[in-house]
Amino acid sequence: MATTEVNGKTFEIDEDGFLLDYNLYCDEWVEYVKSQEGIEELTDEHWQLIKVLQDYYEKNGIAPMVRVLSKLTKFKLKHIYELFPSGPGKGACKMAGLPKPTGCV
Amino acid sequence: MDNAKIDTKSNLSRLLNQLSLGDNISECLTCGACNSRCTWFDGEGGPIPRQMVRMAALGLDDKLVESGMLWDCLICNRCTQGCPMGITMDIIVRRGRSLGIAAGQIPTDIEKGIKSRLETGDVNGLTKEEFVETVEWVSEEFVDEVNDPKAAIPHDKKGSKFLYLPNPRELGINLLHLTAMGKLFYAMEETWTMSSFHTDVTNWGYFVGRDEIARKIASMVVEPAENLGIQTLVLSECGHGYHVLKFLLPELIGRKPKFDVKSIPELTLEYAKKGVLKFDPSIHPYKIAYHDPCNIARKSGCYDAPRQLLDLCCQETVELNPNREDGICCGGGGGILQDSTSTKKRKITGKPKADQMKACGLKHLATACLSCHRQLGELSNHFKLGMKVDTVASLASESLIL
Repeated sequence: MATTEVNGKTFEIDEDGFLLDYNLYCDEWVEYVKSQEGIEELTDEHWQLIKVLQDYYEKNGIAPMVRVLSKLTKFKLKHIYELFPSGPGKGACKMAGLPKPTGCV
Repeated sequence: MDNAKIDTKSNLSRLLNQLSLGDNISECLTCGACNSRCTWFDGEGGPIPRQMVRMAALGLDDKLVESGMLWDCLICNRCTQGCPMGITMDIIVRRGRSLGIAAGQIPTDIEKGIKSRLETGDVNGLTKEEFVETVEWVSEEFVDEVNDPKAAIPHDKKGSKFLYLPNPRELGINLLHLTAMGKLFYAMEETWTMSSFHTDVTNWGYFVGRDEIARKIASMVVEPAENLGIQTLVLSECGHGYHVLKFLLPELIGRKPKFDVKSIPELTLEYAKKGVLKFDPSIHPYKIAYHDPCNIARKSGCYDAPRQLLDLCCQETVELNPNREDGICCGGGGGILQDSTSTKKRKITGKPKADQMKACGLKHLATACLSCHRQLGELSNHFKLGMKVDTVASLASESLIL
């Protein structure tokens, strides 16, 4: 299994770079995905999106649909992509420590 | 393999007998042209085309199923393009896969996707209610974007001229692609709709070689489309969806459907030629290479429409080499991309494509299939090619003059 090391912490990741154990989510993980995603500065809006994803995931065991994410954050669809250029699945979910989306994605 | 028993009455041997121009066990000339044309063959541990054909010819069905080669094949048909005996690889591999399924052999994600498609009409399991909520929400965002209250992304509107069959990604993680397509329809000034009865273009029955499943999924598209009274079914950019719905459909359902079938790039080009749609190519002031999706190009014969459309909305379209009927698969074909455990494998199957992308020396690449689009983008990242990959229709939408 692949691992990655950030500031002395080791994370087990899947082939697509998603965190394998959601419980290991921490600031160092966010830092790692931030550099992978090429995001310069994390704003309050980034953190809000992460928080909403995690709350939903902890309650429901799956990531929310993009429409639900937009409703919960009050962010427009386009704005979600501005915050996370690789999109809500590959960008935001990854940073929030959620597992990789499956299916026809 | 030890003391294998030859059985020319086996399922696959009889199939090969029908396919081949020959009429006995030597109907495959064992010339090996297929091996030389397989892009996997130079990679690591992939299926070996000639071996697969020989095993089928000799009736070693069980051994072929056990070999695991069938699910690794990209069914791109590059190997048997120009086969001197007229053998077509995808037919053999898909039949072989159906035998594998009978023995419980099917990738979990593919099995789950087919179940969802049959139960909900969407391969990702989107329910009708979720479909309606999503489309109505995207429609609101779309109205804001084009700044016209009369604009809409409509659903279930009877008597519309066009029915758009989206890619599942356009209802899930790539909703912006749906608004881009909405903009094309908006500019055509025609009536169009989507349908909550069959929400996506995929037909994974094709991947697994189960004709009765492929037929059922196709009927789930055809019947509601005919009830809506549309003139043209417009397919989103999807390789196997195009091959099944445009190329195989009459054979699959046993009749001609009561509508035309066109892909969104084909329809867009038609409206450009009519003078209805106009593009500003200076929006994309660069040379762009075009990747032929195997299902659309080699397997269905559509080569020119996407290239002509690209020419209208970018500075210049450049060919990858080789291309057209000799084009190289992105490495995600045959259902491999849809299997979430395949990421590592797809870096091997995609290596020949990545080499070809690198050799063209460009920074932009377009294709007309959202599966190829994802795989090519991942190849660009993995092999550090720095290429931006877009779909042809999204580039057309970006450069529209409204």
